[in-house]
Amino acid sequence: MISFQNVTKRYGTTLAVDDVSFEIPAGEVCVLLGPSGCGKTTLMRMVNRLIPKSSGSILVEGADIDALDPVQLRRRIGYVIQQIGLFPNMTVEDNIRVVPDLLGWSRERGRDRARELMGLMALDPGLLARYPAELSGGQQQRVGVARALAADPPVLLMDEPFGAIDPVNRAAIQEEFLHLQRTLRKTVIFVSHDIDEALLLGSRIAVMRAGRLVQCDTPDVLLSRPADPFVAAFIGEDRVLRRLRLIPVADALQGEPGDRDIPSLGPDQDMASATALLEGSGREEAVVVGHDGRALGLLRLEAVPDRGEGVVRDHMEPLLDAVRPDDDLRTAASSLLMRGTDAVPCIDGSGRLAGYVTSRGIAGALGRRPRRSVPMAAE
Amino acid sequence: MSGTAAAVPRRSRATGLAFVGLALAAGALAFGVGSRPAWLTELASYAPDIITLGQRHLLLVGVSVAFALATGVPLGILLSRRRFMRSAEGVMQVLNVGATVPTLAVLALCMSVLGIGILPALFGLWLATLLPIVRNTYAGLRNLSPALLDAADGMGMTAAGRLRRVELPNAAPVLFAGIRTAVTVNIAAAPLASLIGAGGFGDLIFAGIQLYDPVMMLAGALATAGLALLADGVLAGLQHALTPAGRRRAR
Repeated sequence: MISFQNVTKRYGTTLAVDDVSFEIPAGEVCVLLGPSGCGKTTLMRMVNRLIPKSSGSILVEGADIDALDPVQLRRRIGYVIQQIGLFPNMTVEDNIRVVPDLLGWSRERGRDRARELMGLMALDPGLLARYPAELSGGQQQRVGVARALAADPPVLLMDEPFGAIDPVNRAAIQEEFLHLQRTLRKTVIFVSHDIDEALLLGSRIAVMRAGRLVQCDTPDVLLSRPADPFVAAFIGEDRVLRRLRLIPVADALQGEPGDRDIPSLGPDQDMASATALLEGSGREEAVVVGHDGRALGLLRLEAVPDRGEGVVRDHMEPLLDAVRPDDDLRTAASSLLMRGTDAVPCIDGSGRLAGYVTSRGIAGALGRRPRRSVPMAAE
Repeated sequence: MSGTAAAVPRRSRATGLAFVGLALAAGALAFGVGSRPAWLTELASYAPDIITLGQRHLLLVGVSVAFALATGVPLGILLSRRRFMRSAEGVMQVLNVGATVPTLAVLALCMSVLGIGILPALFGLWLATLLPIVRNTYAGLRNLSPALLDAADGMGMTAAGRLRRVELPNAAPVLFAGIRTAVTVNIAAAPLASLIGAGGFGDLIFAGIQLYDPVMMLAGALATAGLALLADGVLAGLQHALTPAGRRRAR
């Protein structure tokens, strides 16, 4: 856990950080978000005492950082910077082992740990003997993250770590980081000026402006209830679209099997009744569901020229573009627009029809109140 | 500052040029003295002198360079520290001005204070060698990427650990360029020490000039040039061995 209490940083007469108080619970990623010069990096660098604060106090894992030796403190806090800062004179392995060596780990333990981290960061262990200059930018930053994680610190400080990486690699490394964080559960302070990155990685987002903390909330609350016009402008006019990424399809499902508004069909149903059912509900298509609840295919009226004969099974098409319950609503909305229909079927992990995503369902999910809100520590 | 760094790869070309120059000088002399190899026999007769004087020359160079390293590198490190940041440029200016004073003048000044013999010579050579070492140590350390130092600090390295494990290894190429310049300058300036009675190859050169004996002069000059090339070659090898592999490939 990291706790800021009335933290202030003064440079001469200017206030770089102005009376900031909030808490980051253990295991959460808090993104410090704001325009450049808002004090977010300064705030982060005060945590490992790279910048001395002017007043206030910071607690890391319950301990006041002023009571600790800065060198010892930093060895317990992982540190990743945008410029990566790998040591060019050391091999990848030696770079990763810097902190373990400082802490006096044995050679074997350090080597095993380096190997393990290469695996975690999706890097080829063969790179361990290479020098940083031989690695691509994306590989270098993966090593940078591995180096920060080497001694398994409970707290990580990351200063725009993926800012200098090309968009394709950045998306990959962000996904890896998310995946890693789900198992490692570090307490992370992540500085960013990229709202999309903040929404993707942050379990809470602290928006700063001119040294002050403006709002600290979960991404969902931030998007649905920005504290002031500055936050609203910073997160963008299209914030409703951004929220789509945060909500899973499962929260917006409608028309479970048996629903009259969005009917499903059986494979052995005769075409006459199927057509009547569809026309009765004003729909163009329906998913064909077997006796065990598994989705078998799709029946589209358009594809059946003469209203059809026989049973549904003879006319159904393969179900190609369904979404899954754990997809986000952005994927579903995109699928909805591409199909040109008003409902996208959702198929769960075992192949059953879970329901449909409709524009009404999406609107309903967006209209619901966000699930949780983060209280400010200052209160 | 970038000039000192760029001088590293250029050095091998300079060594090659020096060899060509030596060959041309030998050829010109052969032409001047006539096609008879008599001058060669005469030159060879200076071998014992070269060995005796060479020991003194090496002593002058070795001791003054050793002292210059022992003082110049720590001074360069000290000047590159943050708490000396303000005064560093001033000190560098003083050293720069000091370096513009010709070695001969420095030796003359030394002699007037320290008398004649090896001591003033060592002092003068030390002074002539100090600047490139201090300047390149300082420049090499100051020009390291701030991100490197930030990462080192952020990971919890102590100041001494950061200097030893990060700063010096990564400044090594620039530092070595300075040492090689210093040694070459030193060897080339050492014959002047002969003028204040310190001996070395300068004895042959200046006696040759006084007696108008070109072969004697050449014996001293060739020996000096040969020693400079040899020393530079040895240092090049040492530099390669001591520069971290990652820095070599990065350059």
